[in-house]
Amino acid sequence: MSRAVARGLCAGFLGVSLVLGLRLDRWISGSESGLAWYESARLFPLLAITLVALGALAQLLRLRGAARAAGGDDEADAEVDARGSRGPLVAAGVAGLVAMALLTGWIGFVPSVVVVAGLLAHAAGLGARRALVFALVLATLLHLVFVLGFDVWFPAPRVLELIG
Amino acid sequence: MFDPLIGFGALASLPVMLALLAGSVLGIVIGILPGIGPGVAIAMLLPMTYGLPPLAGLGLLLGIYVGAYYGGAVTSILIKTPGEASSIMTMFDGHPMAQRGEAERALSLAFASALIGGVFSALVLGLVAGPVSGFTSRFGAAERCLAALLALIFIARAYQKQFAAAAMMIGVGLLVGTVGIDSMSNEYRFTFGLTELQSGLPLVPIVIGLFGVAQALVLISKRPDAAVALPEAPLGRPRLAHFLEPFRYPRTLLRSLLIGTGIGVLPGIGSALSTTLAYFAAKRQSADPQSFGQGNPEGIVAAETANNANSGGAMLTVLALGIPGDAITAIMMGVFIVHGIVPGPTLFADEPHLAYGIFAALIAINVVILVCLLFLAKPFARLSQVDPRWLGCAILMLCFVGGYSSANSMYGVWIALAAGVLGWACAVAQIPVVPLVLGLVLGDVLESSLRQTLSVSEGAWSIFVTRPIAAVLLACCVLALLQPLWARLRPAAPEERLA
Repeated sequence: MSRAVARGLCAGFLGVSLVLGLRLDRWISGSESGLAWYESARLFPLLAITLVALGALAQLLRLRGAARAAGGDDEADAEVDARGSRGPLVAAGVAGLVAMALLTGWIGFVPSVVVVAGLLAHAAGLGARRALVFALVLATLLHLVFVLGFDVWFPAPRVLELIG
Repeated sequence: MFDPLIGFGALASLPVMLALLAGSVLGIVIGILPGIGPGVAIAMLLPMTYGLPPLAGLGLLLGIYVGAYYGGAVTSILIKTPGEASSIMTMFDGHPMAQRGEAERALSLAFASALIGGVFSALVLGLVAGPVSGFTSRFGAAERCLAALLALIFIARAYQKQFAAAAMMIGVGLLVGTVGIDSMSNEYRFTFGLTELQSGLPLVPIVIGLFGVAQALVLISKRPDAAVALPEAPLGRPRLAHFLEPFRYPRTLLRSLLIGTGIGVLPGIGSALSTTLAYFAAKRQSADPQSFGQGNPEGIVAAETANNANSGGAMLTVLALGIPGDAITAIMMGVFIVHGIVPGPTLFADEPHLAYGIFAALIAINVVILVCLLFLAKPFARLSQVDPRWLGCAILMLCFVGGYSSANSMYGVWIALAAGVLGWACAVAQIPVVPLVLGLVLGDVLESSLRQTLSVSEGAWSIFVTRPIAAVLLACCVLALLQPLWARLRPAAPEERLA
């Protein structure tokens, strides 16, 4: 799986860099024109795009060579060891963060944490009661530390406005 | 030159002292907890430091950075589970000692060695940073540009077999850094008509996503491994004789101090390599190399001294050059930037209390951590038994708070989420993300100095070879790039072939 994801990522970066490189004039626009090449705002992005494209191409070729050699996966150089992580639960985690961003505006920060953390913990395989207790404790701690301690301000829940 | 009065005087305020204490304890906890590194914790807490005085904010993050080194040693020795990659070497001799009933001795050795390493590197930093920043203050745009380029080459080279992937990620970081209004020409770059993108993509939510969200997704989605039980026997009271034992190996101690501090200065290398080098150097020089890996105290001294000696070296390039060497120091640069302080050669003249306060804080943090761990090592070690799924959920919620508070809007959360998905995909694909962060941080210095240099020379690249310091830096860049080619062409020695 890791090699297929690596190929997909590198191909994605290569494609994006080619599109950006070809349409650079369209996406870098503004007041200045007629500047010397070395003063242009396009110079550095072009160098960065070239680096991305060359790096992605070299990595794709390397992955192809490694596949031909039929070896195992490369040694892990990533900072996070993702071996053994399960796709559906990763999707649940992403959905949880999206839900937090959407729910906080409607029902407030603490209830959102209780709902999302509780559901996530339960989905991850923890019992319903333990997940609920965990979510309540976590929400209380986060409120005490960040809202009261560090003065992080969250928007007032819109549901209160609707109730009147 | 390091002035201890200025340095320790700067620490004498309640917020700074509380931040040092909180950071140290949190660092130990982070080092012990399974699956969380100091990078994740520092990324999540960075937005919280905005309201603190600069030295308090940096003290909190430095405490986490150094505390994680110590915390990693506790679980390595007691339950053979290194909290950090840099603690693996400590495990080889520490755990066998714990198994034969010498856990207290192994821990005392590890803590004392780490203390020596940490204090030595802080003192070296204090003594060297001033003169180095005096030298680098003579740097013009060409030299700044090449110094940043050299740092990026070192970072890509540090990934050896993944060089192409690291170069690609550096490019992505540089490219992401160009989003927004160009400060020199006022042109819009990759803003796609979105107002939010005009001020660029913010560093903090990106870092929170790449490290925090990605790690949380992995922790939530993995089946937990069976926890290793703590030793039943009590650890016993710490003994002074064990604490002084590292001094019985003066050569190993000195060699490890030099390796740790030296490698800490080099961008992108990291403490895991310094502990490995120091450990095997000690083994090679030992009269009894066979005992390494079976509970030889000298192995712990070598690994832990080199491990903690990294912390001072890693701060040197930030303070003297304004160039971070790893992801953690890159994130710490955020504290400087938020407070309008420019890290680099002028820091010592503009903010002496802050610059010398950092050295003093590093020394104080090592002492605070040591006191905490000498008496509370076993209760702290129990934290390693925490189910990673709890941690994953908690980290995800912390990332939400961190992302939100970085911009005081959901914009930060969406960026953290996008970066988190990218970070997770990179982790699955085993593509490193640290080069992306460093490309993002260094991109601004690199671009502005490159354009300044070329404007001065009216587009002539020869300016990079006509200035002596620039020419030396350029030669270093070329050598760093060509060294692997030379190593490939050179016939391998018999022992290398065996390895």
